[in-house]
Amino acid sequence: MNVDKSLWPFQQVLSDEESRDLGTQSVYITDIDPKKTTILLKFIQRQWPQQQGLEHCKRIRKNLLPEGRITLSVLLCPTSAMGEEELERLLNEFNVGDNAFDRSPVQAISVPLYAPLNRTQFESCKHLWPIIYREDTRLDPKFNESQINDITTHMQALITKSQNSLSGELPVFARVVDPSNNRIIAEGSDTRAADKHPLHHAVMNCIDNVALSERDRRQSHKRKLNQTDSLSEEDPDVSSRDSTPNLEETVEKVAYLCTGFDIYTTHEPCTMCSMALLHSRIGRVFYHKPSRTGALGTVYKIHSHKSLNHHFKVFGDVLRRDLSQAEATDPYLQLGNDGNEVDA
Amino acid sequence: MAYDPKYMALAMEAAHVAYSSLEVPVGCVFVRNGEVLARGGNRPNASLNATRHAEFEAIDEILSSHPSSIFRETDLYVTVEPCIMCASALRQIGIRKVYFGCGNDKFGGNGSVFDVNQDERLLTPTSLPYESEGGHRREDAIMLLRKFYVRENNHAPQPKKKANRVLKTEIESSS
Repeated sequence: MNVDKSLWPFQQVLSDEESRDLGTQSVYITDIDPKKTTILLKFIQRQWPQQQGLEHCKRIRKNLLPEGRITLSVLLCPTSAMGEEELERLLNEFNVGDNAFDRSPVQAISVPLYAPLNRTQFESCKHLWPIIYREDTRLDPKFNESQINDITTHMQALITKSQNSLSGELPVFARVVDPSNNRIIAEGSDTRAADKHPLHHAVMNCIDNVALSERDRRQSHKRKLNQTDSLSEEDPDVSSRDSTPNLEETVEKVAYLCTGFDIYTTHEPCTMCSMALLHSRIGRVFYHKPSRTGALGTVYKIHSHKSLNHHFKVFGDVLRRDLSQAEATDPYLQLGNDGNEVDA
Repeated sequence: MAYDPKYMALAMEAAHVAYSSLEVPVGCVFVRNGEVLARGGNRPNASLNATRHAEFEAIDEILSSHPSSIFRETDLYVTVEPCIMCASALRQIGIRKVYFGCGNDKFGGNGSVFDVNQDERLLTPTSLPYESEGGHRREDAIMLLRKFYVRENNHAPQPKKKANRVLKTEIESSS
């Protein structure tokens, strides 16, 4: 059973397109008798064979009048296409002989500028004008209770480490997990001070450790294979996936080292770390606190940027349900012992 | 320090070394007042780590024997515009200036996709903006990348036949 979104102990960090206000654009409409619809649609078809930017708006709105009569409001064109007087003139020229019909004077109204991509956006704009929206939840993230528990456990472990850290390092921690079996692949913590290296952030260290464990795996595998060869025995431990650890395989798979993996972090990653996760083809990111210079929701949304070649899902505010008042007004953690602000 | 073509030539050499190692051919040198501190070439394939870009290879070498304050008087010469990750890293080490060859439409962090090097929202006491100047030996950098991408990759799980691919030699001027 999937857990309802409202009960998740985190929130999805949506792309700009999914979270933006849909805005409005101004269009002309006119009210007509339902029987005359075909005539007016003929006019529209002739006048504007293809209309850009109104694909998400229905052409016709039904109006139920108090006396039980029905009229239709028909969407004509954006007000940017022509002036009201010119539109009246065109309609009047068309409105003769067989094409004659009664109509109200054209009127400008507001409709949404962008198409809604989810129910929240749809609900926020549907009062303006009838909107074409087909809800498709197939691609929406879903979590069952056991997955929520796993996520909670991983994040709680990192938060505890962060609270107990006395090392003189920034209290930032990261962990990469294979969600298919809940196995921890690697961990990393911030070592900027000890290493005297300003780029040794928790996420970078964690990715390094994923690569290290993969290099080890391949090494030990090679040794195993060599032994197997010399003994000319089948090694039952050697799975089929691992049976050809040659350079050829190495070269092409490298860019996909974190494919399908999740990373948990105590802080929203900085631009460097976020892009490193993209280069590593991370599957999903879960972070506890946003950072002022974070790049997965705050400054940039690297995970959903149109021109970048890999997109991934990001969930923020993990286990931050009970935000204290102070935190709510200043959601960003001050990092740095000297009170100086630094990147997470 | 003003641009000096001899350092971009060294960066191009490092890119050729990466090319010979079947890495995406990007190379760089860090120069401190006329002294080459380190060269770097791309190493994601050899390291199994997609973050091991040329800049990171060289930065790690420099920090193994220098304090990070050295970057305040250090310039970077790199054959391709730094990616978003490297652009942020260069802020955080405090690089003085970056000279690059061709732009990086897919990943570029010094103007192509984001202006990481100048973005005021990223300002912290340890992440300062830096100047960046592209277009130095741009055509050479592009041709080397093109050569890399038309080469058949026998290492792919299902190698694509690229026999019909032609190495394009005309280069449009940068916009």
